[in-house]
Amino acid sequence: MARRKSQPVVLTGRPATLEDIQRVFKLSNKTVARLTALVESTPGVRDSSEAVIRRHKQKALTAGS
Amino acid sequence: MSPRSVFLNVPYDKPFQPIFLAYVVGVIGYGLIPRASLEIQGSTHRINHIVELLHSCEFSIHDMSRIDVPRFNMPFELGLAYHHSLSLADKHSCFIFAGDYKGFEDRLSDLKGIDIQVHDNDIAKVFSRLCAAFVAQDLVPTVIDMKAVYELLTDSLPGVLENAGSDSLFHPMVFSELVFTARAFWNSRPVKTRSRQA
Repeated sequence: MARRKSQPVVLTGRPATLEDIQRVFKLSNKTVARLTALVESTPGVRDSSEAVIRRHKQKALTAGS
Repeated sequence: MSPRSVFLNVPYDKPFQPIFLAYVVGVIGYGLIPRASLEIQGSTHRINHIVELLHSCEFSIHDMSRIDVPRFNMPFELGLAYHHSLSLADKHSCFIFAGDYKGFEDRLSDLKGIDIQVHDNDIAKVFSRLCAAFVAQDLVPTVIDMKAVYELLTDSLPGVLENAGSDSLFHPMVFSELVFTARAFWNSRPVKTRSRQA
């Protein structure tokens, strides 16, 4: 039921994998290959968490100036 | 054990697309699979398929940001989900979100006493409210991670839209590909796991 503040939801199942999503949405292998290539070609996908935090801090500073 | 799903009950209109994308990113960050009625196309007895989809999900998110205009699908589906959650005790949980709280108590006064996650139509607040809703989840994605994946997903959006020949996120092919792409982006960012005491 809808939660009140004192009722946290405890989740215990395993996280969804790409294979789960492919199965649930019936994605073809061709689609998966195309999307994988799209993901790998997106700039910034290999950035470390530190690089992301630095970029967000920089953005916040720029927005505040 | 299968991964859990979250039924997204949100308004399908263009101004809402950034918030919709935020729900997709946030939900996947928690290792869950977002599902939506937009997956059900051209079917008779559409409502039966929606109920079936809702019942297959362990959670549902209901964004009541458009209850000030005559759109009844969202409150109707919230009612269905709420009843489902009452029938199944702890096996289904529904979370209620809204852009603002103004007028909420008047229009949905039966929900008095229930937590409403108000996000002010702000992406970062949607992420923050998702963190509040899924506070006891094993995975603990941060709002910074969610913002990073959101940015990556936004950058890859033209490719996904072009392939589906659509300019809307509320298209079944776009939605399924976005879910896959978002999961792939999350895979590139290790998410902390909450340590639990035995």
